[in-house]
Amino acid sequence: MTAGGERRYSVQEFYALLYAMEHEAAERYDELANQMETHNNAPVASLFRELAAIERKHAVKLQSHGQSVQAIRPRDLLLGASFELPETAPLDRAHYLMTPAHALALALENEEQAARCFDALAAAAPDDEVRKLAADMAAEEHRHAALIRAKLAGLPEPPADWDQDLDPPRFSE
Amino acid sequence: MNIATAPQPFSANDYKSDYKPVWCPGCGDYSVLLAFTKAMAQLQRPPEEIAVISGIGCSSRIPAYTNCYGFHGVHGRALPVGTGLKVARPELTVIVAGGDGDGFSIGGNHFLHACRRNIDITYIVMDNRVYGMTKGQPSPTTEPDWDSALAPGGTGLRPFHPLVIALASGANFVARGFSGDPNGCADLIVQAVRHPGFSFVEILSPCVTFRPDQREWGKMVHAAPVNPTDDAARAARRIMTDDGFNTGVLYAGNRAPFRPQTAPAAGLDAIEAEFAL
Ligand SMILES: Cc1ncc(C[n+]2csc(CCOP(=O)(O)OP(=O)(O)O)c2C)c(N)n1
Ligand code: SF4
Repeated sequence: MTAGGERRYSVQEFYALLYAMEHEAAERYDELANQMETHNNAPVASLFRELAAIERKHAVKLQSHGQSVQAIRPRDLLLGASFELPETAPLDRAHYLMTPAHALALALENEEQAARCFDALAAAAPDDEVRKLAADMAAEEHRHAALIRAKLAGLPEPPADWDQDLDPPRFSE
Repeated sequence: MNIATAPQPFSANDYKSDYKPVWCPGCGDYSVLLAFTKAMAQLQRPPEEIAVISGIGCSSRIPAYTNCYGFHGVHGRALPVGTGLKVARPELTVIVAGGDGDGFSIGGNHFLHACRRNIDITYIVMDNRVYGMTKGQPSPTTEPDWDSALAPGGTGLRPFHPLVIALASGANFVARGFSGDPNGCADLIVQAVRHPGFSFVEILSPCVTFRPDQREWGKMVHAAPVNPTDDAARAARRIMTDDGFNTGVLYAGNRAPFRPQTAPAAGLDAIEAEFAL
């Protein structure tokens, strides 16, 4: 997490970043839910849909600060080495046979990455208000991560052959 | 960075259709679609002033998933259709899109001449080095030693080098992106559309079903360590000697785009009358 820690955000920019993060995270979970619905993976689809709803609730709350996602480009606000904002699940991690445990593990990674990013921002922010906001966000993301971890612990491990398809799309003979 | 500006009329979602893609989850083409919609939102072009033209293949399904005008055409023939459309309707933003099979095998000849003609269109190739739709046959960009059930031991053939061929044939803008970086790809598409003439954007877009090895591409891509050049020979040398995973704008030339000297003979009214049911 380098760029995030080094960058100096104004309060307004910080809110824009928060809104962009939550908005993109929600859109991405919805996209993954759509993919799973198309591929008849109902349990994972509903899990992604639930995650989308949670992120969207946050985004709506932040929107009241008057920010618009069109007005910022996530690329201008990149944090760390990843290609996308910290809470956005990478599209290339999806698999049509993934299990709820895989989906939650992915969500956990996203929350942990977001928490790390806010920790770094809180440590580096020169502005008191931004520092406090970042620390609050970090605490919230750590809380989310703990919740997901608990939920994940209650799920069975995916079987070793979870990606075996008896009727594969792949030509194998 | 001005973050407090009023919301703009078009957001990325305004360029998406209601059809849900049927691509395999994990396929890079989802990110290319996302990049496309983000790029169009950056450009703020109304969807009805954009036409997305494709051939056949998984990647070529993309027009249906956008809210722009679209033409999902014949395998390998997307570029002639896009060229004709741009010549007849120069006010449209014409984006041609498809796969490496569509563009470099059956459509290879059209690719050369589209570069040479230098019409002001943007060509996006989702390169997964395989024929995805027809279940995993090697394509012109497949590595010679890629071993598969359909080409045991690999083809042993030298891969086609699309970016260098585009340069040698006269393309005016050449860039390479990676689908795992949709924001980066959106920026490339914006620059490609804004650059006059034929702009070619190769997007490395993994086929996770037939080339699961390509899930590793995210660890292999890196930003090109040099600025774009307007010297085609220098760009070609760089591309020939790079590792194939350099991303960014690699060439931005100064050739004047081809524009027909005379306006189309038939106006819209005449065309509408001709095709009236
Ligand atoms: C004239 C013709 N020849 C062959 C085919 C069969 N065909 C359909 S898609 C395809 C290749 C697809 O590969 P690519 O363009 O790389 O797209 P991808 O599916 O990998 O996205 C072929 C050979 C066809 N549809 N029409
Ligand atoms: S077969 Fe390959 S190219 Fe086609 S949708 Fe699936 S992953 Fe994408």
